[in-house]
Amino acid sequence: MTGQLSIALRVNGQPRALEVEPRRLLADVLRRDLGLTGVHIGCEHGVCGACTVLLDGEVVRSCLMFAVQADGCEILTVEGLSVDEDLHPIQRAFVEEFGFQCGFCTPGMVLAAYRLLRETPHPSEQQIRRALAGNLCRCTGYTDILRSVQRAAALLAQQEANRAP
Amino acid sequence: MLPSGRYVGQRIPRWEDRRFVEGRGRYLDDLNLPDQVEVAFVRSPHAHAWIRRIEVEAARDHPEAVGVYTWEDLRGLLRPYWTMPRGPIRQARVTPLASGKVRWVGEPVAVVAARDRYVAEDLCELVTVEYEPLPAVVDALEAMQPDRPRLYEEWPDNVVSHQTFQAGDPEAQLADCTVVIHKRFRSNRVTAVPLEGRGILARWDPLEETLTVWIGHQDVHLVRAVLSEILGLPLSRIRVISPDVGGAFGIKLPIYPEEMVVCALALLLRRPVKWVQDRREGLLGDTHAREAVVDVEAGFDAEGKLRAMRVHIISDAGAYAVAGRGPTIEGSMLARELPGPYDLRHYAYTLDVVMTNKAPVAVYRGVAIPVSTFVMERVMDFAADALQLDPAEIRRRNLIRTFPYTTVTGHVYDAGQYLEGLEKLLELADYRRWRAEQVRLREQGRYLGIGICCLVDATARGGGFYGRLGLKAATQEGCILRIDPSGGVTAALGTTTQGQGLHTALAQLIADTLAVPLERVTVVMGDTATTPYGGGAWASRGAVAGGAVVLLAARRLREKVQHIAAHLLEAAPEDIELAEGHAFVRGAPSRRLSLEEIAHTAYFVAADLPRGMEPGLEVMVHWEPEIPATFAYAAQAMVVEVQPETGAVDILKYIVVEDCGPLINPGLVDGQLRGGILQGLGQALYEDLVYDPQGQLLTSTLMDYVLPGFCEAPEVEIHHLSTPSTRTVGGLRGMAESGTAGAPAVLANAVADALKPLEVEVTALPLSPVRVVELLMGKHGQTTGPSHTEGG
Repeated sequence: MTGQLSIALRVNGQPRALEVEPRRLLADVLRRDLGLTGVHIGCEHGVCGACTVLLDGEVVRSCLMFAVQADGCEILTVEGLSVDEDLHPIQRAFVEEFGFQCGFCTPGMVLAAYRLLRETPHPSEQQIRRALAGNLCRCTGYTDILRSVQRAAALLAQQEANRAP
Repeated sequence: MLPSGRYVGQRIPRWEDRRFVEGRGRYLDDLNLPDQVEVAFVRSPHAHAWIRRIEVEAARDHPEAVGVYTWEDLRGLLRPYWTMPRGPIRQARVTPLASGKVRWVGEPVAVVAARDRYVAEDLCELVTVEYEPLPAVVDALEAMQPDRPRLYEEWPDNVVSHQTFQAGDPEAQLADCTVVIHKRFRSNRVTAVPLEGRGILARWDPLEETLTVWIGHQDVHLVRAVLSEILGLPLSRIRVISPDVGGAFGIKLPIYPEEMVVCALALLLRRPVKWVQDRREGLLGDTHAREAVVDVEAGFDAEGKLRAMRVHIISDAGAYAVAGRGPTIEGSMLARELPGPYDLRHYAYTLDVVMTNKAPVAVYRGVAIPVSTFVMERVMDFAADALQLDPAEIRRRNLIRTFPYTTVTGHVYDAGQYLEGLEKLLELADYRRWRAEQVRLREQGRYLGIGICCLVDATARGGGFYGRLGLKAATQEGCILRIDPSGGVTAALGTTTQGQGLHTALAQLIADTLAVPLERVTVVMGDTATTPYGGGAWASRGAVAGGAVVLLAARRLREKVQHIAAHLLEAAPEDIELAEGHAFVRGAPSRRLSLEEIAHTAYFVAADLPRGMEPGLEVMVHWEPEIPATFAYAAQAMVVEVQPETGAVDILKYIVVEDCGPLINPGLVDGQLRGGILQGLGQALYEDLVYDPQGQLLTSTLMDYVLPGFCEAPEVEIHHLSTPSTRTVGGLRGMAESGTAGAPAVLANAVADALKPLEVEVTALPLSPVRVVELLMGKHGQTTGPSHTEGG
């Protein structure tokens, strides 16, 4: 019912030019227009964190933003984490430690963990809990997610060590 | 017994997991079809009102509208249904869109179809509904009085079901007891809130003349049966598929009005029609649960033995009956399961299930057991107090010790280690040390509390539990198991999964029974076109009923493989062993055939099979527990510290001993327990659906309806007993609900214990900080009668 605006995003490393209605949520544009259905919509009012993406490296709720607000920004969704056939170490850790059940909160959890571990590679339990406190899970009781993030930190440290000359 | 082998009993990560961590799960809202329309609903803002007029012209005439429909427009396509086909229940006619009257805030009144949800929601604003508001009845105790406004005019009052039961002579026994605990308990109204809301996509295929329905659901066969009746389509013309489901926990078991309307529109418009709920619609209209008032008289003798109980249960059922489950399940289960793990011979109950102007009530993880356990375990602690017994001691004196045990309401507990479970719990929890610590801290003015609870969970229902009520919800389960010509194994089951990891657990059972690598096994669920009839995911039946049918089917296939191999290798069938995808002659491993070679013979050279043997390697098995339920047991202990100034409850220790029989995959079992426990703690500490006196839901966002988050989740220590059931295949018992069932009770007992020096009574949930503070200020002691009476 309204006109369209042109926006340019960089999503998972790829430049994307789009025409969007100003009122369309970033979450809807990522899901419907770009097919990135790993962005999940759980509450549409910014509480559950299932729609978490990284916008210029920071955790945002894509259900609380209009797509036009993201114009010119770099967006990372869960689809951008695994390279070719290899799971990202955080994804691997979630599988190995039973870090989810229904999988609906998982992309948000994985991205929140990614953001945490980028700057805090050896987080304490308290730091993990706080960093992921904005993401709700209704299945696991969180314990196995905590262990997943701890394992992810270990896997990343190992990867780092292997890379060192 | 479960098969022994490489997989069963191992903590094997789920093989269905990769797509989920990559964001490639396929949930309902990820599905879209060409030419689809999306719908939004116009909902009632009133809890109780006559509809005087609905004006749809402005919306209907809008150029972007595909269509706007009220009940009058759809009545030719949708048949009303009744409260429940059979049972001790009053009947009311339910229409999927309101007809004449609305009975709860959020009730769908009209539906708008448009290009997408944005436009559909815009057009809803153009629909005008004129209401004549009526007084609402919001409290069940008030609603059951005869002179109150009635939801259904044809009824004399709002009581949808009134049931009574008596065994033994509770009245005489109560008169003879040393202590009678006489209390009123209240349980809060909560809902499951799976992170993925409900949704549906329906498409009429004119070539196959079939309605295909994608819906995130726990029981696809039930959906098909209900839709067939409501739409008047033959069962064979409907296919129901449940894609990946983002949690369910019971609220995705009924078939809701919106879902019926979407299917009707798919038939009417001959275009795919989709609806995905938003969170407010979920909190307003998903089934609620657990709201009950329980008046208890429980009599104990001087030794602390429970002699008799008389209870009146008032179960708040909300405004209408959801199709597929009905409104009485919570109340009647609560009444029947109340005695739990304790020996009781004299018992009477009166049950009133009452309709109110609120969202409908049906099943949520644990169903009535979280409430029955809360009530029973509080009763035990009140009695221990009155008799000056330790809470552990009074439980020792009342736990059932000899099995099989037939309960006062007629259930059979086949086997168990109830007392051993409690003793193990007390030892692991270091119970005596914490009691000493409590004494020390009380002297410092700190409020440490220790709670324990024991419970029996009725899992994997059998015996036609719902079928006897005329509902088409099966307690049997079906499996088709096939070894294909490549040596791969595929199982198709009637049940479903929403994150429990059932694919992996069932594959473990199959792989070990047939001695094949796990990677060769595929498990298919959630599609009525490709799976046999089964009962879906509820009452922790996935592993018990699903496990039973895959075990039975795999054993039969194994036998057939052995017979074929014996024939081809010229050996006796009992000398054929299976390992690593091969059959070989015992003691002569070089005389061997691969499963693929055997399958080749079975499918393509059937003439070489033993005389008279049916070609192919495929079996179908149906199985039903012959008993009403398969009972699991759990004992939980918790240590808390309560801050009286803020009402905050800090959980210092939480330990669980549970008995679900043998474990297929401890990683999955512990995950179910932990998740269930946190849902139970949500009810105990935070979650509360609050309606105002006009019937407006005050908690319709996740800001008001608070779910436990990462920082609220305690570390839970889990231990297992494994008492095989004598009534199931492999001895399996259900385990997905005992965590939820025990958490409110153990927390309430721990908080009550902590606050004992302050002389407050804990009889109501939740124990949120504000409620704890109110309790301490004396505002919230909603009990009736004396706290206990000293008698003969």
